[in-house]
Amino acid sequence: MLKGLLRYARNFSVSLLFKRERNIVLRDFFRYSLGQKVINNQTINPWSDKIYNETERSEALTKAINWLLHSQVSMGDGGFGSYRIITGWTTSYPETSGYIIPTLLHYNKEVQQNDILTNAIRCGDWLITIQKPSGGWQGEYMADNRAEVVFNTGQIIRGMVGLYKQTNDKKYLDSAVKACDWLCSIQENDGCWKKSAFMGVPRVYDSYVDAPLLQVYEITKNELYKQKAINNLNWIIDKKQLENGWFEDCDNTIKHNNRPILHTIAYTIDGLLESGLLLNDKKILDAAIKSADKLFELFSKHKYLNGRFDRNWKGSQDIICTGCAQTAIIWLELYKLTKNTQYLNAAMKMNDQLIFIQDRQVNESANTKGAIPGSYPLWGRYEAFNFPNWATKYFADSLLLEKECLQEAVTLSSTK
Amino acid sequence: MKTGLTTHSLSNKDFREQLYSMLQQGIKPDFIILHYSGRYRFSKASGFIKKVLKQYKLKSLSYILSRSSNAASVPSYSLSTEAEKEVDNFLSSAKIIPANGINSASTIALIKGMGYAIIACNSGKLNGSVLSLSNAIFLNVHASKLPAYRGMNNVEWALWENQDMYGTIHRISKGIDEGDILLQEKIETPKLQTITEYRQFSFFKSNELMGKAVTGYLDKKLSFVKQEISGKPLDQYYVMHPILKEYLAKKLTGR
Repeated sequence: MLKGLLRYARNFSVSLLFKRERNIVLRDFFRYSLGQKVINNQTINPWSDKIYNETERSEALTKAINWLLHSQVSMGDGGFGSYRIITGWTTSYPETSGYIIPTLLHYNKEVQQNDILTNAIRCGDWLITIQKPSGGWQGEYMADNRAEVVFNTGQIIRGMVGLYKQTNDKKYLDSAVKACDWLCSIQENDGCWKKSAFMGVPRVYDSYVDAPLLQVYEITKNELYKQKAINNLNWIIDKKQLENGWFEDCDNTIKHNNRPILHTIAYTIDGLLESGLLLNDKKILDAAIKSADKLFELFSKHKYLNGRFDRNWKGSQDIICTGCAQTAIIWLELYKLTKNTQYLNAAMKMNDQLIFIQDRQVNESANTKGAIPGSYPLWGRYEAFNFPNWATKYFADSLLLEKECLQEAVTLSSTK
Repeated sequence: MKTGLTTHSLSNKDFREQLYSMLQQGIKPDFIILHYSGRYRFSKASGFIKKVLKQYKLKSLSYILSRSSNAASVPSYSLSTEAEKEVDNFLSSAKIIPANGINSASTIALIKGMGYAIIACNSGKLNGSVLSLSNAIFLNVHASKLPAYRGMNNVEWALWENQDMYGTIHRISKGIDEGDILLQEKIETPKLQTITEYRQFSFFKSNELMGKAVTGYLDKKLSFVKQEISGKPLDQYYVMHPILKEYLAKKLTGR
């Protein structure tokens, strides 16, 4: 507790020393802390009447991608890092670099800008060079020099599959297959991953590992990958999901498993949804929809989502931006699946909030311009005073998917 | 059984249209509860004014002019001059009971003392203590089909989904648009140009149903039918995102 307070005091004081960083912190202070109003016992948040038109949404997407590319340039090795207001750039984060690749490929498809593809390839090639002999990839940032971790490995497989599909270069598929073989070799009998799991504890958000395993199964038709993914999905749904859609063992800590963060809840739901779609399995899809609808209900009621949720879905802590973007993505995927426009409507409102958070309207350096912070306000508990690259990655994904869904919805409405 | 209406203003458009539809059916309401809008409405109104000021401050003059010229060109669906006169004539001799806020203890006591009554309600949200009064049935006008279009912007969502327009008279209950239905009719809607026109038209036509619903209930020709509500959050409609509204507007004008 004391350590945490001291860290906060240090972060605040250091951030106020530098002009550009000070601007960001003060901007959040004025917009958030002074912008909140309470009318008839209802909290009116500063973003509640902020609506961004399609041009502004496109600009927000461009800014987000530009920041990601700036992050890659800042690393030098081909990977993507995060920016911390207090200490500057981190080293590359292999896991998130892996799943940033599909974002770049998606954006490349959208804008037909070939140098973006080059950026994605550069990242993929670097990831191959740091793949462990086992087939896995290390956890956390490069400087942490950790052992291979299941979840992190799964996310890099996403990048490898994306690059293989885009370039047809077999080295990416070989790398993904090697990683899948390793994942299958260490799965427990009950379907969870305990060995080489982060902190040695099984997590339900490994559903987000099952989806890339299934992606590789689709290409290779290796039944083992499919079976191992199904084993894990069954473990999650049968043993860890409550009737109300909440998940046990869902936090990325042990201490806060009683109220996991939205970031990992969304990983879990998205993994279930993606796997359910790949397997065309109603049980898995229903499990995803149950939890996604609960978040929809909470968002519709409160107009925002808290950072953490306990087993009764009671929210606590400030907004965790990455979780919000991931939730919007889930709703957009559900729009595609069900054609229920309420999902799209909610996702668009969530994206308005995130654009508001990105649009700080202060003079910023390239190190922060266009980036989404870990928390809103910036000093929230999750990744305080940091701009983790995954928050911006999911924000970009969400805007890209929103554009597709909006076009589809407008066409459907016009032709019904 | 007595009949009545509630409103916070005798010039309220919906109130007048509903009253007129009752008069047309030969019902002369026994009372009209004219209540203060209360603090809620005041704060809501002040919030609205602030929002408008903030918005317009940022907009160009041409935007304001184009807004006002658009507003002027929208045909209004409202009572004719003769109908307005008939409403005024009735109001000049009607029993108008001034009251505090609709949910206040004194208003609850007042309604309790009325005996059995069916009341067309134009008073915003009713809280549990009002709705639990056993002697009163509170009716609401919903300008859409129920239970299909519960919630917000129901006219817009029905248009978005290319569905027919409906008017519904239902009992007010705790949940949003979940009360039992007394009367629901399809509204034959001409081809209109704007969302505002569709909204005005469907609310106007829906208000017209109030007289028929109350008469039907008093004559025992109509009874309340329970709605099949799933309770799922997605079976309800929410405020439509402005970008979707923009596309809807384009669709209506054929652009």
